[in-house]
Amino acid sequence: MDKRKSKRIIKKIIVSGIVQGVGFRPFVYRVAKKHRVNGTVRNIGGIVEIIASSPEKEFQMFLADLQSNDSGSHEIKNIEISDLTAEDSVLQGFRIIESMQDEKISIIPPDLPVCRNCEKELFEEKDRRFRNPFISCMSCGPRYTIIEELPYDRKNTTMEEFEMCPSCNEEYIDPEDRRFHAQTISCDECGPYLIFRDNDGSEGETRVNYKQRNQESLRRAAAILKAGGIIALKGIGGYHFACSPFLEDAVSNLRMLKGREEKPFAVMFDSLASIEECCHAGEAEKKLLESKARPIVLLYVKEKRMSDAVGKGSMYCGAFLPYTPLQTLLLRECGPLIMTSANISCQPIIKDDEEMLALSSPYLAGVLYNKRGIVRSVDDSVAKVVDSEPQIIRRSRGYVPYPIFLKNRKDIQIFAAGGDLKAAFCLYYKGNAVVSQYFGDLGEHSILKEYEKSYVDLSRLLKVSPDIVLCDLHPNYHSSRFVKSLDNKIIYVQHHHAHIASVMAEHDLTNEKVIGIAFDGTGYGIDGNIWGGEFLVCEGSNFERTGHLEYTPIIGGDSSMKDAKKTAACFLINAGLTEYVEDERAGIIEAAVKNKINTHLTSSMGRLFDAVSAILEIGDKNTYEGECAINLEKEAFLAEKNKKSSGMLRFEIEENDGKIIIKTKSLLESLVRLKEKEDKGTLALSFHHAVSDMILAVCERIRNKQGISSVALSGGVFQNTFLTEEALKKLRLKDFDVYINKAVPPNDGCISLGQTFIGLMR
Amino acid sequence: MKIDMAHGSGGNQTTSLINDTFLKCYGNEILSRLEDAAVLSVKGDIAYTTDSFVVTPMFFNGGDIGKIAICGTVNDVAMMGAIPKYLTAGFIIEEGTEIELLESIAISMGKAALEAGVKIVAGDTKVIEGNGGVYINTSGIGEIVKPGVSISNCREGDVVILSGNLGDHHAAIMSVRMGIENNIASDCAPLVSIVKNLIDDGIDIKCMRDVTRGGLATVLNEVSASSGCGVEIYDKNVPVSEEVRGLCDILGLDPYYMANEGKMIAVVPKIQAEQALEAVKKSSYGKNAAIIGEIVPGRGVNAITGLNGVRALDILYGEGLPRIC
Ligand SMILES: [Fe+3]
Ligand SMILES: [Mg+2]
Ligand SMILES: [Zn+2]
Ligand SMILES: [Zn+2]
Repeated sequence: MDKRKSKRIIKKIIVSGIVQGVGFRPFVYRVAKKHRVNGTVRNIGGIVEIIASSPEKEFQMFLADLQSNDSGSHEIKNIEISDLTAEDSVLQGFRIIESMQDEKISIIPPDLPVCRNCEKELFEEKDRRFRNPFISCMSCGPRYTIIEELPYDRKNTTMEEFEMCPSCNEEYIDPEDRRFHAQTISCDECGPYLIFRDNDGSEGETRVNYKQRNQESLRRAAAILKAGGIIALKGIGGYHFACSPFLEDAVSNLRMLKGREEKPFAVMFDSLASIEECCHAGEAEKKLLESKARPIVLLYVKEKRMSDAVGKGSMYCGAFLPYTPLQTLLLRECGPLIMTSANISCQPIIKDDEEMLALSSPYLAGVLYNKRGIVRSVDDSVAKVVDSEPQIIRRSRGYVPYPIFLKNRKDIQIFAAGGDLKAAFCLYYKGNAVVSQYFGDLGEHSILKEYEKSYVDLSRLLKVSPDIVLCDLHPNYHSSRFVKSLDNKIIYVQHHHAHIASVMAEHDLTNEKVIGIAFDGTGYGIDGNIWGGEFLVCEGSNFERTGHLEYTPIIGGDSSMKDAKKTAACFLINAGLTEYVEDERAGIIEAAVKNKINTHLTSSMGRLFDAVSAILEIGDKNTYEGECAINLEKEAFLAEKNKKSSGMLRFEIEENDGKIIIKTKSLLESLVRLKEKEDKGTLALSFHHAVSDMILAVCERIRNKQGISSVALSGGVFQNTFLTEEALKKLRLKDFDVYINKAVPPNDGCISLGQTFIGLMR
Repeated sequence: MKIDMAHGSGGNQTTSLINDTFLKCYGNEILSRLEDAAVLSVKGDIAYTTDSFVVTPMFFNGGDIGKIAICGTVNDVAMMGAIPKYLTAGFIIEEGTEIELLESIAISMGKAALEAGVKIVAGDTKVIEGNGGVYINTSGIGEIVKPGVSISNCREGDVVILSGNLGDHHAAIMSVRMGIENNIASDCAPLVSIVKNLIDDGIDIKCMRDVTRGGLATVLNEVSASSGCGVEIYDKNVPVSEEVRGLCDILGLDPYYMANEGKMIAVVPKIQAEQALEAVKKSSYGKNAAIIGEIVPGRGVNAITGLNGVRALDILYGEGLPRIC
């Protein structure tokens, strides 16, 4: 062969994205072999470096294959190619270079759902992993929840306990095998294996082999589920409680077991087809359901096939697909199952076997578990489709701890504590913003402890020791208090500023002024009042409060915030509409408001939604967060579907010394007057239109004055799909560039990312 | 008649104010001497404290500023394991105050002092410009009967006894400020009898604190900080009257943070818990007493809520600031 004709080029390729712990290097190896490319591949602190030597033509094919892959679990974000001048002779064949111990920073892969190849084997009778509930490979299986140390190696995970059998070991060391270096590799020989313990403490026949035990445990658990019982089963980030969504008794027993929780339950379906029997799912929804995070996706309920107790009248059903082989096996057997995190009341999700087995309740018929440890508890993620694109509502399993990549790669390290409810913190290093799993309300001691522990855990794993620490301005946030114990310089960030900054971080809005619209429940304002209906002009790390909902005195305390009827009374009293207050406590509420007894001035849009919901008698209590607003949205949505006319309500906008004040009084007045004549759906719809009209009107005023046409929407109120899409539509029609949260939730789950952005921009 | 600047001049009108109001209402053989200073004889170590009282409104269901001025200082002295003996009372009175009003305050002080077993032995009166306000400072001394009672003594295994319902005073004051009528009365009371009972019954008292401004949560945080321990409180054991609970629900107030004027905690060894509880209950001001929690390892104060939830009771900044978003 003429050597000149096949002159080899030599290139260095740097790949970033989800490229570690997901079988990316073996994938590169196989592609390189295919095109006879010589060279090496290795991990360097979160990125992968490939040295490739081959003739130009082969190199291009190699590169194309590298980028076109869709079967693996990796996700390439960026590829940088540069020329090398090293001697051709150095590169013989293609090698995977082991990670070096002194790697400074690594990216921890998120937990992955069972892959297509494994799922195929799962149901192949001849396969040696036929019906093995722990089947996994290099591209699938648990990751974040089993990693104790980095680098990601079997000995650093809770799989260490299970010694590989010779067959597994063979696969593990074969670079051609799709289980090459699959740290979670296992089979019916090496374990883990399933155990089902029923209410009497019986674990069935224990002298049989793992294979038989797996199938026997599955059979016993499925029998109980089919008979309408509730079981706990061990998942990836913790236990689930499961039962049939079609049996009223089972569902109400589940509510008793969980401490009378009122929230709608999520349902796991065995297939997209079975989801479509119960819910509406468009293409974007289907893609989201099947995405690697396998989030719970909020879908419109189609037909009332499930028990009323599942959704409690909600128009959404939280649907998701199985992500563990065990779930796949169980659902094939039982059909759709409610799959809700195993916790009592507002406690953290249970992840430890001892704790689960110790929980005795007449409602719980048994526990299906195994002895593979879960290092950290991680809830299921929740997402939905807004504006034809996925939006995360709760960012946890499957997403965490995958970083949000920021363009700003400033060489500092940051800890941002986040908010107090839906708490999640953020660790930043070199362009990576790692937002932690969702914790819940830090007011609950055990959740606060989990949060504190996770901070220590994650900052150790990622080797982050913060130069800057940021937290919310609220003096009573538990997260802010935790930060004070860290002995570090603290930057306090206003809550709604953080909301908007999170959108700026996601969309890299670093060099422009942005109109930020932060609508949520409550956040501590720089004037000591309770903010929540804010128009902020943001630039870099600064903001100016350009407009807000007019202040209304409302009665304080966290419990009052859940009481929409009380909120309605406060709004009506403030508007001079006391005679319309329908509340036996009206006298005392009025006296408190007039005499400023434990009252706070608030500009909260969330509270206005509560008040309107209560005035229209749609809801008078938030038994779970946002309940009244969700029901108000439902009425508006249904009214729109039935082509009800609207437009009867509107906000008056005033401007004093350049500050825009959105008045609520006349809107409330129209509302109580129209209530007698109009149906509540029409008024709910009209209210939504009033809010989106007002958004547009205020943005136009600000644009006219300051020439800003970028708008960022954030805050819990924008979890309202109907409102968000209305606002987007109206703003775009007038040529505004509108940005919303996608990768982090619009609720307080985004606060830590926003704080991080502000820390970086300072 | 109204107070004017002349009442503070030290002349005639001052003398008649002292004689006709203060001496009449709470005079005794020591105060009546009207010397430059009271001459007192006390046994052994004394506890000595001072407090100033600024209360709006001055009169409310269950008490008034005078009663609070006596009880507040008496209780602070008693919390050190002392029996209060002598008080001083200094008045700063704004012009325009009705002498009748002053008299009812003084009568109330006399009654409270009598009940608490203390004598008011020295006093002072100043008049300032203003609008009818009255401010009182009292200081007091007591003889230590049970030495070594201290907020830094609490140890794991001790229990916390609360002498009765939380929040009555706060709720009563709020009610007056709101102009609403109900049956809630301030708990303003001297706690000397409770302290005496505990000492007489041989309880090895570790620590006592009256639960005033900032409420139980604040007091327990002080215990935690000084003793270097954790405190765990069982929600269901903490007594709060039905009516106060109802008002709190409407006003979004938390009884753990509400002020009291006649409540105390006693931290005692677990083995004496029941005995100590009985001792407290013997006093008419301790009828609703309860063992509400215990000292545990660690730091901070936690309340165990229903369904085994645990809520941190931190010191709060700003009343009722909501966190919920
Ligand atoms: Fe918020
Ligand atoms: Mg005092
Ligand atoms: Zn797989
Ligand atoms: Zn094996």
